[in-house]
Amino acid sequence: MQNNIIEVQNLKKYFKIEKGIIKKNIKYIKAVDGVSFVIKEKETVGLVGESGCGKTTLARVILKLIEPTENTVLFQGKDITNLKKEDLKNYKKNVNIVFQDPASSLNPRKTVRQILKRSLEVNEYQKDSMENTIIQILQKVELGTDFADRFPHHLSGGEQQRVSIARAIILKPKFVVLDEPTSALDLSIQAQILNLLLNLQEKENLTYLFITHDLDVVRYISDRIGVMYLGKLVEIGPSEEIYFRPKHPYTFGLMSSSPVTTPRERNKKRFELIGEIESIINPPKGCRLSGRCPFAKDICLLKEPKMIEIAKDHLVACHFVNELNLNK
Amino acid sequence: MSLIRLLAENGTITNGSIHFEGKDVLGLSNKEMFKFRGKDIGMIFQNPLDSLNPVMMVGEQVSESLILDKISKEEAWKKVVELFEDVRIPDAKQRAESYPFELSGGMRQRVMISMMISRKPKLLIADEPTTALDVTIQAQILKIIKKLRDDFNLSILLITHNFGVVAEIADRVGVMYAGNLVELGDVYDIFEKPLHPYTRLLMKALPTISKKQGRLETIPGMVPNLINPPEGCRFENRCPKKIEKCKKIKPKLKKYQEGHYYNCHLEMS
Repeated sequence: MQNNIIEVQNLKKYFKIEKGIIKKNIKYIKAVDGVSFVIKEKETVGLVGESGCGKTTLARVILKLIEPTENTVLFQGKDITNLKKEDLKNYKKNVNIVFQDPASSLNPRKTVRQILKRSLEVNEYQKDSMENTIIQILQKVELGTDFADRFPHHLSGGEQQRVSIARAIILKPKFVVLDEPTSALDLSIQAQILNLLLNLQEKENLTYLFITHDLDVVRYISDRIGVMYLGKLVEIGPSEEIYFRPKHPYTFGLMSSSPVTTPRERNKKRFELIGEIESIINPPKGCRLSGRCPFAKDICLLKEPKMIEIAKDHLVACHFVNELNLNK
Repeated sequence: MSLIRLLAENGTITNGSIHFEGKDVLGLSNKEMFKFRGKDIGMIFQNPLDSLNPVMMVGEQVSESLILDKISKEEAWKKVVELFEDVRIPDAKQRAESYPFELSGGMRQRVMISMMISRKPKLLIADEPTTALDVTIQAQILKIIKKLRDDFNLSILLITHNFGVVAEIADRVGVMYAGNLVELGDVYDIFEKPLHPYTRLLMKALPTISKKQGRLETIPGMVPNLINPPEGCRFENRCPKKIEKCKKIKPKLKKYQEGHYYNCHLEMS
C-alpha cells in the first residue's frame, strides 16, 4: 500500500476583482473551488482541462507559491499552512516545479552552472561538494558536463527543458509539478523528455503532478488522470479508464474532441458539448457543466453534484453517473 | 511565405519556381501580387490576436476586404454577417460589432477564417490554425474548415506539427525536415506505410500508448544547423539506417508508387 504524499482537502482559491473607485462590486474568480484528491508516493497524476479551469492555480497552491482562500493541503500527513521557518524551508526543498516555456524560466544572463548552483547555495550546501552535485545532475538529465558553461540561448528547446528538470530535482525533492513541460517542444523532442521523466521517476523515486491539455501525452505518462472544469474536479481515475471509458459527460466531450491518432478514425461519431467554456466569474449554479451538457435535467441546474466512487480509485461528480451510458 | 511572396527582406528565393493555375507567381509585379493575395490565396496564422487590429470592430475588418471588390458598405456589412454565420459565430449581428479583445480565441480564429474566405480564394494557407486553442475548440474549428473546403471547393495547405490534426483533415501529407521535403504521399500511406527513416521514427514517437505498454521511441540528436547544412543528407547524423554515401551525396526525391515520393538513398520495397 502506497502512502499518500499529497492530500488536497476541499481546497478553495478565489481571486478578488474590484471595480470602481470606491471598490464596490467585489467579485471573485473562483479559480479552484472545493477540490479534493490525493497523490500517492511514486505515482504520476495527470491533470487535464481547458485553459482557465484552474489546473495551474491548484498546482501553485500545492507548492505554497500562493496561499489558499479556504482549507488546506497535507504533505506527508502534515498541514502546510502554518509551517515555521525550518519546516517551510524543508517543504520547499521537497517540492519543485518545471514550467512550460524553458526559455523564459531560465535566467538568460546566467550559465547553466550558475543556474543550478543557486538552489544549492540557498540551501547551504558545502562549497566543495557543489561542483560534484552539478556534474552528477547534468548526467542524470543526459546532458554532457560541457553544458555547464553554456548560456540558455546556446541551448535548444529540449536542452533547456533538461536544464529546468535538472534544477527542479537537484535538491532531491519528493514531489515535482510538471506544468505542460512538453507543449513547446517538437514531437521527437517531446518523446525524449517524456522518457527522461519516466526514467528519473524510477531512479529518484519521484512523485509527479503532470499538467497538460494534450490527452495522448497524459495517457502515456500518468497512472491516474484528474479532469478539471471551471475550478472543479469533475472526474479522477486510472488513466486507461479515463482515456477509454470516461464516465463524466465533460471528460467524454474532451476525449471525443481530441484529434484521432490515425486517419482511419477520422469519420468516427463524436460527442460534442454545447457552446464554449463558460465564465469562471459567474459560473452556473448547480453543476458547472449544466449549460453545456446535453443530458442536463432540472436537478443539474439546482444542486451541485458530489464526488461518487463508482469503482476502485475512480470518482465522478455527476448526478446521473449511474444512468448515463456514454461509451456506446 | 514564399508562395504568397511575403518573405522577410533578408529572405530571397534563390532558385526554382512557383506556379499558381499555370501562372508564374515569382514573375508577378508587386501590384499584381497585391491583387493575387487574398483574392486567389488566403492565409490564416497561428495567433489570431496578432492578425487582428485591436481598435477596430471585427466586422469592419472583415468588410475591408469585401470593399476592395467595389461593393457598398451596407452590402459589405450584410455579407459579413452571412460570413460569420458560415463559420458558426453565434449572434453574428452583434458579434460583428465586437472588438477582438471581447472574443474568445476560438471566435477570433473564426473571424480570421471568415475574412479569408470572404473573397472566395481558391487556396487557403492555414499556418498552425488550431495550435493556440483547446482541444474542444480545435475540434470545432477543424469541422468548420472541413465544411468550408467542401462547400466552397477550397484547396487547403495546412501547416502543423500536430499529427492528430493531420489525421483529421489531410488528404495528402508532405513531411519536411531541415528545409527539405523528405516524403510526400497519401495520408493513409504516410501513417501506415511511411518510407523515409525520419517519417518512420516520427510515427513511433507519437504518444499512442500508455507507459505500461512500453516506452516511446525517440530520435537521438538534433536538427542540424542550417547556416552550415551538411553536404549530404540532412538527416544523416540522426539516421539509424544511414549508409556510406549519405554523408557526401544529397538524396533526391524519388517515386515509390503513384503519388508516394521519398527523399532517401535507400531502396524501399
